[in-house]
Amino acid sequence: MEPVLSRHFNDSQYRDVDTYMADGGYRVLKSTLKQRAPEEIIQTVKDAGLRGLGGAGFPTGMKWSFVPSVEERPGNRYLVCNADESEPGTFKDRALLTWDPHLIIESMVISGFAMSMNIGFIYLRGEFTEITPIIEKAIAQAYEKGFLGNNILGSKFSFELYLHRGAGAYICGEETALLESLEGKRGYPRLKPPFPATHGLWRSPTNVNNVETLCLVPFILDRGVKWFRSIGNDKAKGPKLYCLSGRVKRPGVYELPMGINLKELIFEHGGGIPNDKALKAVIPGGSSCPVLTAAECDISMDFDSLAAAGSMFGTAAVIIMDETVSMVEALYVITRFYAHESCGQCTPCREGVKWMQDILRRLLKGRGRREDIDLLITMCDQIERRTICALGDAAALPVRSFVSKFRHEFEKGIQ
Amino acid sequence: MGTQKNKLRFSRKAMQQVEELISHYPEKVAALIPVLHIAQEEFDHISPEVVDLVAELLDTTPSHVYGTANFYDMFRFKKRAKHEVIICRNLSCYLCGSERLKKNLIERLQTEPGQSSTDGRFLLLEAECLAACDKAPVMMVDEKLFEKVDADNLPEDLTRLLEKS
Amino acid sequence: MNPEISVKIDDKEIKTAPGVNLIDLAKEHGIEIPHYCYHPALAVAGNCRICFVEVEGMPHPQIACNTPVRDGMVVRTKSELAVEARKWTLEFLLANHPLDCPVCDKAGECDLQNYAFKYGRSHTDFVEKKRTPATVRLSDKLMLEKDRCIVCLRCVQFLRDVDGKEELYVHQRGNSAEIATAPGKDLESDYQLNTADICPVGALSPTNFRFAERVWNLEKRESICPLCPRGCNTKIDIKDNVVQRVVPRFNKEVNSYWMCDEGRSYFSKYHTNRRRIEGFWHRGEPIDAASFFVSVARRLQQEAATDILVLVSNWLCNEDIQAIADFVDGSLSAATISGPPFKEGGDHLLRRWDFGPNARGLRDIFKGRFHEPNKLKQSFKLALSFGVTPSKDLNIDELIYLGAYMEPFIANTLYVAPGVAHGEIHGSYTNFAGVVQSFDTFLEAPVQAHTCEEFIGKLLPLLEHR
Repeated sequence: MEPVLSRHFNDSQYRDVDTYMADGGYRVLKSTLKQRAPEEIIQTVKDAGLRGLGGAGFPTGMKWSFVPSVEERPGNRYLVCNADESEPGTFKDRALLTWDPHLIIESMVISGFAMSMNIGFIYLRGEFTEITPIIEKAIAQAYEKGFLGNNILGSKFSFELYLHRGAGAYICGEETALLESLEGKRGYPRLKPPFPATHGLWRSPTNVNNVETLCLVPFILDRGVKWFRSIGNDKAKGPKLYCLSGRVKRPGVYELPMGINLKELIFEHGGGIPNDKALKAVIPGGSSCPVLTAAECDISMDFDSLAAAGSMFGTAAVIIMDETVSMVEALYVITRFYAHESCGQCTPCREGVKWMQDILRRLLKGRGRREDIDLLITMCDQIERRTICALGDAAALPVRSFVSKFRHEFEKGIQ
Repeated sequence: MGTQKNKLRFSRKAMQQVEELISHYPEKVAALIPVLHIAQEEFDHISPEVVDLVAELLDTTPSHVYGTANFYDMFRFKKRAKHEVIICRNLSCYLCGSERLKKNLIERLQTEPGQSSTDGRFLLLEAECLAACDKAPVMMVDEKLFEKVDADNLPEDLTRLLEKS
Repeated sequence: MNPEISVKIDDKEIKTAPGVNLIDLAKEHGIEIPHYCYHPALAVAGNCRICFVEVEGMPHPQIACNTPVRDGMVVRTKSELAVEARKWTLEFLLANHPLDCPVCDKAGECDLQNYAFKYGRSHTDFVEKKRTPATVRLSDKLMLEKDRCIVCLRCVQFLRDVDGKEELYVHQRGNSAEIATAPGKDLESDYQLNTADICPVGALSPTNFRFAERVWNLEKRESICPLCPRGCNTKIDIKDNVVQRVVPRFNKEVNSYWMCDEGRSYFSKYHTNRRRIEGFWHRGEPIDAASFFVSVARRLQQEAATDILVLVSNWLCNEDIQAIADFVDGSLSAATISGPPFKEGGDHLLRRWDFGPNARGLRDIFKGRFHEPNKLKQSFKLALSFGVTPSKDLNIDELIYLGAYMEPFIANTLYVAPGVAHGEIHGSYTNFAGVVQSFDTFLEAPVQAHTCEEFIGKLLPLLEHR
């Protein structure tokens, strides 16, 4: 398929607003402000079937419609771009931020207009140090051109946009933890309800969306729902930036239709496994997703198909493992990550994930007990859906899937 | 709030940045994390004096500043080494040779992760996924990202950095 | 007017308003839902995860502290799902918790103990190495045993949201999270000991009770704090006629769930080790009780009432003050009535600056006849003082004093009688806002100590009516 989101990749010239505009940039913003109404934009996004691409896959149009009207809730209303990309295996937002910052800005103004927001924040991952000046410059240029600020292009719509840096915490990718962090506090996820749509930043209506999700909005508005839905398969629509990494010949970002076959993605696009090794396991959507065995990889990459198979589409970050990979080691690396990133608020995650890491370390060192394997599964039962946010699930799902599907490897760790 | 004993002040340029940041939010304290980045840049690390300065500027308490800063991996509370050498220890980099790279760096820098080298020039750290997994194994030295780092064949600018003077 | 809805908790049909928090509703109806982080005076934290209940129609357990009730909601607190979820919360909490019960002050009033016994498992699967963070001093008043802490955040919330200053913070995150004060800074709050009250475990340890006594050896009484005119409601723990500990008691109108730190140390500072006046005295020489009252009556009759100053303490209960008022009306009606000066104002939370509980009661009972001490100009030949140390600005030739404690001025006093102290009398105080609060005796008074009422009772028959 012809490049959509990736059309400016690896070409730094589009960071400059004039080059971006010469390539058609900010045209959709102009036409949207002139010709379209907020409610109609939301309906269009709904009709397109766009789903959140930060990991959760929540229908974007529906999420947008949860924001109360300006009449109900006057005052400041916020649009937040979640650019805190931290899901292991994911690097698509980095690409968008690096090569197409103006696309992000344009999508934010359009989306802000749709939800009658007046202030936007780009919450940028703190470790993206080299990207920070790129975004800062793009925002400054957008203000200069009148695409941000008061009365944009004479439309009476005003939208301020600010960059807000994070400082190194995976949990701040969780939208309510992000809001806490933006308010100058620890990244503690909030209890839900209430949801950010009604009580977000400083208790005001707020909508948080992933970078990639936002970037698709101008294309949907410009080229239409029919175009968007012509890409993909019967289960999922639109173009997608897939991330391939791990034991694969050609790691990278691949823009392909939603619903591509995972095996095809790995072997045809990714070039297959280096050194003639056999495929052993694949994590399809970032480390929070249950692992698939090689036999399970003949599957369509979309939210519904992967959920039906007991895994998740997540961020479509495909991590490939070959026959030489120790599943015990791999799981230990993953679990150590979640233990490190747990915010520590709630008991099952704070105590349970670290405990699972300790058990896995013993198994790794050959000091496991017979009971440890079933204990890990029981702990997953008692952590999943028992926590304030999904990090508990994100830690438990890999443990459950690795231990269940590769039990024999874990049993080798028993003393 | 008692007498302002410490004389720590932001430079004029940094203070302008701080004031600009504060103007973005309805509450001053929301600027805390971006301001802490500026403070760390300006004053080397987050010391008790920096905490007091930032707390006063943003109408909050030292405890709030500590509690927030402590939550995030990027803030330093001790004098920084000349160079921070950070290797990703997450799954994709692990699958692409980060362990070997780590051993190599441990030997080169004569230190362990979390510790500074004996001459104080390098602090070796491990980070979680840096979102550049297609270029694994990945590392950062100070603010610069190094991609596809071959343990046996480090890029020249990296080697130069790591060389003892 | 809220429409009534119907909710079922454990087969009990309850009518309530929509949106009421489930955990509050259950408590109102005597259904126990164990909880640690939830506190009615603090924002819902929802982090301990022990208040799990099963809500019909929801496949996963819900936390009762963040479940607004809806019409037709069916809740089961004892279903297998709820029981199992609770068991494992305890398993997770106890994983790193030290086996400190034998040396922990909280034993006997610890909800971790109570719920582990009631809802926990009888064995653990945790065989890893426990975290062992150190014990630290938060201030002179408060220690923190970090290894016992379950990071419920009640203490952090209290100082930030009730006291208004964020002094405690959470250091680091995840399993390494610990409570701390800013490095090098002590906890300064005058209300910090409330955090120890609300700490569900033995992590926060007030130094005034540390290793002092096992709570099951203590007699439990209720009273009113006498330190200031707020009159915080208190619970007193006593052993061998000595107050071991004072903690606040909930009163919606007066003090909510809190009291200041100073009030808790009232007894240790102002009573327990203080020397009492014992027996009756005449110019530094002991005198028997009978002779005392005869002499005092005679001395009072030697002066015109206009030359007599009656000093009444704001530490006296309303009943004693009324007895004095009646006595003065009947026998010394021309005497001048005064007492200690009144200090206005208070802090941002509970503490009033005046020293003593009953300045309001005193002024309410005497009404316009009470002379503020700074307005007294004349000198007095004789003063009859009920518990008031005469100020040096006052011109008094001779003094008759009824009081509880030895003071330096007593050596030169004409007549001294032993009085009762707070705790040794039942009565009532009127707080600064006019709330009248009663309290009972909980300490045994020294044998000869007299209340004002008793003192007057013995004096009155010996006086001729004037």
